[in-house]
Amino acid sequence: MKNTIKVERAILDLTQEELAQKIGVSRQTISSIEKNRYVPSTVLALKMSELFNKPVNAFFSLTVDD
Amino acid sequence: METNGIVSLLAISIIGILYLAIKPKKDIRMLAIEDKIKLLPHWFKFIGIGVAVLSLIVSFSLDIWDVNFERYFTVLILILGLLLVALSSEKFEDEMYKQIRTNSIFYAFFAGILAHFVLVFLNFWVGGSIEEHSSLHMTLWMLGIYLGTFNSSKNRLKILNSIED
Repeated sequence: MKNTIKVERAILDLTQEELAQKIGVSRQTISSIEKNRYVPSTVLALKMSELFNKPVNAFFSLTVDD
Repeated sequence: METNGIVSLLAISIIGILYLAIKPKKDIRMLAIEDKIKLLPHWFKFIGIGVAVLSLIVSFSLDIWDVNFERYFTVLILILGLLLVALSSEKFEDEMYKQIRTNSIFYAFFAGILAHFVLVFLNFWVGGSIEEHSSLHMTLWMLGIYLGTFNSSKNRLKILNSIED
């Protein structure tokens, strides 16, 4: 699974810390998601979707390994 | 069966029956896999570390001075301390940390079974008794694996994330 959270975050001009606070997780979690080290739950993905005002598959996509 | 065996079996049965009696009844149709893990507040970690360090100090002092104190109790206190550390939440406990916890529990559980097998085989080949305090040492081993895996995974993530930031 790959994602473009970093790009979406830059569009909204948010730091990792700010995004983490808005969706109720730690900064480490945001950092891990951006680096594809952690795949978030559906709830967290939907929270991001609401914040970015985009559907989940606009910033998360499957790779050949999935 | 020995008296001790019957007593343990009875105790386990009574605990099981009590649990079933106290457990809140739920509609079977509402059954779901819920996130039920509730942990102690973060500051319990420091109490746990304090208790564990205290038990180690007592254990070392038993080696230095001839104090009339059962070593068995120092292991019990150490387990209590580590248990408090293991059951206390992170400063910001979220779903990623819960996932790391779940993975660590998986490793600790199977490492515990493996270690027990090794002890049983060692007992069979080399001889001696693994019965004496073995349950305490197994608990300590499993807690150690759990805490070690959890903290190393957490720190590895932190380091890797900070390198690439």
